[in-house]
Amino acid sequence: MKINGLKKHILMALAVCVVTSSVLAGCGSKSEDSAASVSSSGSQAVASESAPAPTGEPVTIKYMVFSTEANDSYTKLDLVGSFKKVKPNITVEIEKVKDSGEFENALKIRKAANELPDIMPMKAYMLADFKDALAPLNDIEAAKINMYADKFAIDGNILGVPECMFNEFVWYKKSIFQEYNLQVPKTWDEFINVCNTIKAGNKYIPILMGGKDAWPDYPFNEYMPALEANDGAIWNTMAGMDEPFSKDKPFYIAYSKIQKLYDAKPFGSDPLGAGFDQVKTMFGSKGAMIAAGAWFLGDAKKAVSDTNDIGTFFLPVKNSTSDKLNTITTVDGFFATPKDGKNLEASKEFINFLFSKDFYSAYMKDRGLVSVVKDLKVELDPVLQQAYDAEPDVNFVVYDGGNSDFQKIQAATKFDVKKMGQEMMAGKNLDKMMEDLNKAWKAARASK
Amino acid sequence: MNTLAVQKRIFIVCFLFIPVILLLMFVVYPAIQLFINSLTSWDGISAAKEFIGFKNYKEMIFNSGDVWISLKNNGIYFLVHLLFIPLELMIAIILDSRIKAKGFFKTITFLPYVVNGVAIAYAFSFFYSPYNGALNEMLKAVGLEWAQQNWLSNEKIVNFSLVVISLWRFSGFHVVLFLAGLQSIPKDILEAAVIDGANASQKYAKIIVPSIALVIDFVLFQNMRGALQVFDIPFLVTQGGPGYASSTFTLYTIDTAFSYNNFGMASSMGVTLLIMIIILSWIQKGLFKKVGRG
Repeated sequence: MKINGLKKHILMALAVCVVTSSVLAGCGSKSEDSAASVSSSGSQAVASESAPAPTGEPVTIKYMVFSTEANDSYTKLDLVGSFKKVKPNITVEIEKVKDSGEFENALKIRKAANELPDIMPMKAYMLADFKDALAPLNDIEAAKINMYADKFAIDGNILGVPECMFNEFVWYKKSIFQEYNLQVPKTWDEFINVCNTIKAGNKYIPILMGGKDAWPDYPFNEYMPALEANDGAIWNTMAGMDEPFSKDKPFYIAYSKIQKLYDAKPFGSDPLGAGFDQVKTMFGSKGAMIAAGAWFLGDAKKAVSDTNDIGTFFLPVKNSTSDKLNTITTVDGFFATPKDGKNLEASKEFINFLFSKDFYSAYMKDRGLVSVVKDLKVELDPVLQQAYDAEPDVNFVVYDGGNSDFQKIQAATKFDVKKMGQEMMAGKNLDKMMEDLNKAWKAARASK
Repeated sequence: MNTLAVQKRIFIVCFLFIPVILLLMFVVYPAIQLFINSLTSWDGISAAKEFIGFKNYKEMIFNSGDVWISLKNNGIYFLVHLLFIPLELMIAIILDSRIKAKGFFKTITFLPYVVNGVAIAYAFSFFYSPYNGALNEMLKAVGLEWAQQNWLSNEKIVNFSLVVISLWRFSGFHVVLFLAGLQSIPKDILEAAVIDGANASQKYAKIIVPSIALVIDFVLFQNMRGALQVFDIPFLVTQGGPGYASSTFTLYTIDTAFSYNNFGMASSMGVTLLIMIIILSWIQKGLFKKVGRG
C-alpha cells in the first residue's frame, strides 16, 4: 500500500510539473533536429541565395513586430499594401508580439523548432546570439546605403540592417520649470538641484520613474557607465577585465552619480510601487520630467494638452560645464532574415523596400527617429530638436549591447543593471553590490 | 483463454492505448529530456549542447543565493495558505449548514477562482498602487494614514501583499473542495452523533475531519504544489522585484532560461522542483497519517 501511495504521489507530481518540463524540454527537444539543419544549412543557404525565386511566383513572408509604435506606423502608412503594389507576388503578414522580451523568447523557441519568421527586427546584441541562423545581407542595396550596417557586422558579414538610431532625452514640462524659475541643467549636480527644487515645492514629482517594471531606469543604470567611459562598447571592455566594478572604474563612478540622484529621492514617495504605464500618463499632470528615448514622443504628446509645453534636453551627465557632454545613440531595429528560410530572396526584397526613399522618409518622420541612410536626412520633430539646439557640440556615443563574451559572463553572474537600479532605489548598499559583482565577475571569467 | 477474457483484454488495451501514448509524449518524454538538458550547458540558442555532468546542480545549490531567496518566498506562500486551510474548512462548514442565501455566498466564494488571473493581477496592481491606490486611500479615509505602506516596493512587505492576492484567488477553490467532501458525509452519521450527545467540536474532530481526510490530503497537496510553482501573481504584479525580493522559484527558473540564456541551469531547477514536490508531498502525507492516527 505504501509503495502504491508513493507511486501515486510520484505520478501526481510528474503530472503537475509537466508545464515546466514541457516548456523547457520542449525547447530542447528539437535541438538535435536543429543541430542537423544548422550544420547542413550552410550549403542550403548558398543554394537559396544563388537561386532567386522566379518572378511572379506567389510568396508569403512573415514579419514579426514587437514595437507597438512601429506597428501603428505601418498601419498608418499601409506598409503591406504599398509593398504589394511594388511586388504584387509577395504578400507580407505582420505578426505582432507584446514587447521586445516576448519577441526574444519567441525567437529562441522558434529557432529550436527551426521556424524563425522571415523578417526579424533584432536588437544589436541579439545578432551575436543568432549569428549561426542568419543570412548574410552584404549584397543587398539596403545594407550598402546604411551608415551603420557594416559597423555591426559579425565575422565580416552584415547579419542585420539597422532601421534607425535614436537618442535619449530628459523630457520636461516648460510650465513647471517656469513656475520654479528653473533653467535647463547643464551638469549632474545642477540636474539634482533642479530635482530638489521641484521636490521642495511639494506639488510635482520631479522625475516619473515607473520602477516596478525595472526597465524604465535604463537611461541611468544601463547607459550611464557607457557615457562616463565615453565607450559605447563598455560591456565588451568590462568582459576583458577581472574587476570592472572597482572604485576607479567608469562603472563605479557612474553608479556613484546615479546613487547621488536616487538618494535625493526625485521619483515620488514610492518609485517602485507603480509601473511605467501607470506613471507615463502623469506627465500631463503631476510629473515634471521623465527620462526616456525618442520613442516616448507619441506618449508625451498624448499626455499633455499643449505640445509646446514639452521640452527636451540630453541627460546632463557631465561634471562641469566645460566638459563635453556625451549622450547615447542607440542603433536599433536590425532587420535580419534566416539563412535557411524558404523566402530568402523575397525577404531581401522586402528589406530593400523598407529602406526605399519614400517609405523610409515617411516612416522616420512619423516615428520621430533619426535616419541611418547615407545622404538622407529626415526632419526631426520640433520637440526633439530642442535638445540638439541646446547642445550643438554633444558627443554621440554609439551603444553596443555587448558581445558574446560579455553575454556569457552576464549569464553566469546574472548581471542585470535594471534590477540593480531597483535595488539601489530600494536602498541596497552600493559598495556591497560592487564588491559582490567583482567577485562573481572574476569567478565567471576564470571558469570560461 | 476464453473469448470473454480476450475481449476484455482487447477492450482494456484499446482504452489505455491513447492515454498511455499521451502520457509518454507529454509527461515522460519531456521529463527525461528535461533531465538530459539539466546535465548540459545549453544556452537555448546554439545547436551545441556541452555535457557538464551535475555542475548545474552544484552551482544552483552552492553559488546561487537568489535561488534560496526565491525558495524562501515560496515558503511564505506555503505557510500562509496552510494557516488558512482550517479557516477555509470552517467557511465550508458554515456554507454547508442551513443559512439563508447560501447559493449566493457559495458563488461569491468561488468567483475569484474563475476570474482571469491576468485581470486579477492588474486589478491588485492598482489596488496597491502608491498613486491613488484603493488600499492606501481607504486607510486614509478611515483615519489610518499611519498604516499606509509601499505595498509592492517594500522588500519586507511585498511578499505578503502578493500572498493576499493568492489567498483571495485560491481560498474559494479550497472551500468548494471541502464543501464537496462535506456533502458526501451521510447525514445519518451526523444525526446519530447528535443523538449520542456529541457537541460541535466533537462532531468536527471525530466525524467531519476523518470523513473528508482524502479531500484534506488533496488540498494539502494542492497547497504545496501551488506554493512551489507560484508564478503568475508575482510575474504580473512585480516581475519578482524590487530586485529579486518577490521572485519565486519558477519565476527565477524562467528568468534563468530566457533572460540569461541558461537553459541547462533552468532545466536543473525544473528537475529540482520535481524532486522537491515528490519529497515534500511524501513527508506531508506521512505527517498527515501520523496526526490522523494520533
